[in-house]
Amino acid sequence: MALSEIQFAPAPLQQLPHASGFPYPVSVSVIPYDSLDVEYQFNQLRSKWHAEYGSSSSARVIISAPSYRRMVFMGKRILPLIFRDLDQSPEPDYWFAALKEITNADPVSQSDRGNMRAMAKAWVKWAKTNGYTW
Amino acid sequence: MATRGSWQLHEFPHLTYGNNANHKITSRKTKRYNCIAWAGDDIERPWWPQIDGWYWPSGISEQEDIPAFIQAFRLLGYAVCADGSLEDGFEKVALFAEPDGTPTHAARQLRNGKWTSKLGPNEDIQHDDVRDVRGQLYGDVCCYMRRAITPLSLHQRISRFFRCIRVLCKESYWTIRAFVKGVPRKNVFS
Repeated sequence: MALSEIQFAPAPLQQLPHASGFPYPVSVSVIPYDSLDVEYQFNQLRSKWHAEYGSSSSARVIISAPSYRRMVFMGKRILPLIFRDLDQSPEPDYWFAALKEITNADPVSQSDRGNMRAMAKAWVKWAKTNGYTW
Repeated sequence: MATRGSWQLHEFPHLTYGNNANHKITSRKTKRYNCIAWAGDDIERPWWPQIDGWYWPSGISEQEDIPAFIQAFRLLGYAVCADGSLEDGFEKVALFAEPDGTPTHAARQLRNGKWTSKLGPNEDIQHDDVRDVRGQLYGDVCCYMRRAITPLSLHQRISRFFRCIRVLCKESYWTIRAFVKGVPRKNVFS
């Protein structure tokens, strides 16, 4: 069949994902620019946060640090990044106050309070139950 | 152990380094416990009142002040005492606070008269004088407490033995995991 015999029919407008005006259905690899941006911001703030609390032992100082507050303000977008840290890091960061603040959930049992590994496990389980992936 | 810890020099202006070092590092850095837990001989969880993710004994004040911290150490058998001098048959802790009375740190006296401190999420150190870690970050000592040293019971000895075994297993696990995955091993010390 010659190329000239092939008839290209414009796709119905409703089949196009964003009515972009492109006449044919297209397959596009979407780069999750927003996710990359969030991860970049998160990592920047996290490094800054570590510098801000330094050698302080005070939990109040640690969770009141400006960069920690900014991470909390980023809201649910940072949850997968936190859950990844809890799941994969041998020593997760002090995320538990932020998690409770962002999600308003509290999956940690009273007996596990303070035990970082047990709390991390509880939160990872909660995340999986609630459909988060990382 | 390294001679220089993970802390910033300006945080502890009274620590000295090199040939005149008044401290030595005695652990890797870890977030698993903090100075209050370390002073109370607990290496399983960080202690602090009111904050989610930190342990605080139930039944005592949740206020972030020195009386609440004194109560917490009373639970461990300590009582307020006059000073931090070495007394035969007693071990001591020193509580640090900012000038406004906000608690910041705790150090524990060792049997050789020196002191041990966990510096936030960083390493534990042994320092010659209790006030070697004073400064803008930790303020200064505001209270000393002491308790009688009792020989470890059989149960405590067995617990410590298994705790050592557990730490060794965990260390090995994370080392092997890092080796298999080909990533740098993160510091773990529990």
